[in-house]
Amino acid sequence: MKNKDIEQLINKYLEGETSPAEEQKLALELQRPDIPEEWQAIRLMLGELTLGEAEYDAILKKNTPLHHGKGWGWVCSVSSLAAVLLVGLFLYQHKPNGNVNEVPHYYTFNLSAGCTLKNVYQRRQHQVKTLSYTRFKTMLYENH
Amino acid sequence: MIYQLNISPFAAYYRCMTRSEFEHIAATLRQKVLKVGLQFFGSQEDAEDAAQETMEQMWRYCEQIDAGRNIEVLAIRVAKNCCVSMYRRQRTSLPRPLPRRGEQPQRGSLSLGEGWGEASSPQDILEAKDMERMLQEALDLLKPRERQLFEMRQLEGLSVDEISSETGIPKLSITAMVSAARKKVFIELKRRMKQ
Repeated sequence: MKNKDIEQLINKYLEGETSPAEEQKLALELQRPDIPEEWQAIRLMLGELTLGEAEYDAILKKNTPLHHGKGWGWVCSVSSLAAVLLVGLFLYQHKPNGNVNEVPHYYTFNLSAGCTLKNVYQRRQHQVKTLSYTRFKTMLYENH
Repeated sequence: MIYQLNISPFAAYYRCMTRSEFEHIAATLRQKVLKVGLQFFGSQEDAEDAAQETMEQMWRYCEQIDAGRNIEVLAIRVAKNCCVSMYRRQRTSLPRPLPRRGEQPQRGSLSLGEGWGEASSPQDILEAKDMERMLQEALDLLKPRERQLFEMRQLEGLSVDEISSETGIPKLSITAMVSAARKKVFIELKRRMKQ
């Protein structure tokens, strides 16, 4: 900004007609080391908070945000899309076959055989013909 | 670079916030200033540091702040200054010096960067304090209403529209009073600088 433009902005400031954004701009311009003495008074009046806010916005605009590059938004978008696709692929591959209401085979034994000791004995008796019920109970007690 | 915010010239004209009032809103305030730091640094750690610094500054000066004002706006502006100050320190890699024992902040100035490893020589600090004193003396010449409006523009960075909706004063009157206040302060500062 040329000195003439700065002077115009200073006049506008003194008339109370500048916007906060214009005052921030003025505060930044008045940071030059070679400004006239009377402009230093304006710099003082604008206050350091105005200058700080202007610098904050300028730095943020320059590196948005500081620890992330300009491609950060793209990285986030691509990562999100990839995650959604992976979840979709996983669900597709693990889709259940046949009737979904069908009870899985690993549950049928417990349901049909029941859960009492006698039920278990009767099932084992089919497998090992010589096992007596008393012997079976003794085996269980010995295990405990 | 020395950050200074003049608050006390206005303190005689309004009810100042108490420490207990500040503590009541501190948690909410911290969340807001943390967002400012996060937006700037993009790092939780740096944002936490900036928020801590801001809250320290606000705590030190809360008793000079008008209880009726929107403290959030001021806190956000202070947070932005703290972020810029931290950013400079990180770039110059200078450590923050420890505060001297028994050191008290000078009433009437909120120095956000003084002696913080930035280019603040003792000469710079003396000059800044001298300038600050001159500004305060110039502000003493203002009428209470002029001071209030000057403060709302300088400290809170509010626009004429915002001041109008907050105070109920017509926009044209605000512009006229702000202009009168600025011209008075400018003339007085120029006179003092020439001496």
